[in-house]
Amino acid sequence: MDEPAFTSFYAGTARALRAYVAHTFGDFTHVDDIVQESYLRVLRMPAAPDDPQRLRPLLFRIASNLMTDEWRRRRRAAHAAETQAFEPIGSAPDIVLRLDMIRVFQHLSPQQRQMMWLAYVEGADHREIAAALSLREGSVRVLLHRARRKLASLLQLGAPSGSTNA
Amino acid sequence: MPDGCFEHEDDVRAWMRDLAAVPIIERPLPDAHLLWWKAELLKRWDTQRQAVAPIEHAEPVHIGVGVAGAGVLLAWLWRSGPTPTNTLIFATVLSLTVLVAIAALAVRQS
Repeated sequence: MDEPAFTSFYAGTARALRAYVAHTFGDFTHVDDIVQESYLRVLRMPAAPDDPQRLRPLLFRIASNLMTDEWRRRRRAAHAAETQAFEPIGSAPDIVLRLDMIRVFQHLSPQQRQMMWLAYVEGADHREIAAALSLREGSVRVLLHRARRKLASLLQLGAPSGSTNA
Repeated sequence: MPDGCFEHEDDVRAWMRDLAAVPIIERPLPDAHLLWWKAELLKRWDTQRQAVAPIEHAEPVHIGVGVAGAGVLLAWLWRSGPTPTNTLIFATVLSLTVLVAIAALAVRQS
């Protein structure tokens, strides 16, 4: 991939990738690090496809793996409680609503957040989600249904305050 | 992929759409040009590392062979020389110590 092709690919994917990482990762401060590392890994791959349509799922898969690695590393280091809360930009009273939405989403597990985002925001099908999250397609069907039910119950009942799954 | 059979499908879809519209990062995206050149630099480093990898892997072998050869030479000198004196014993122990120290230092740096 040459530089103009990369610039075009970056312009078409960077905002979507950063939104995906920002909403699913649970730590605002490391979002851009993960986004940058994802692009660097794509660029350093010796046999990366040139077709942007094939490259985009690969990019999201790399970002998903990086997030998973970071979650595991933090669990091992027992630093999960130190993750910083999101601070959405905007002005009150809108900001309160936004913050509530983000908090509700954080009550899903990291994997559920990834699946819900890929399914509803990225419009990915089960096969694409399975590829992005290194899961079997049949598992995605079941896990995604559970994530939907959990989110629906959170929206109907209200998310319990306190700990998150970030 | 949204599930049409799920009873709250519309609510969930609408909520996810609203969530996706929440702007949470204000700063601009990293510059594509800088990312490109950073990747190029990293690719060059990768190439350099691959080129010197065989040398780095062989380094402990070189050190091991050198230390073993020096040990054999010392043993041969010890056996073929005159009756051991305090000076010869001291020189032998000192040489062995220096050899081991050099080998340990080289292995640590490699």
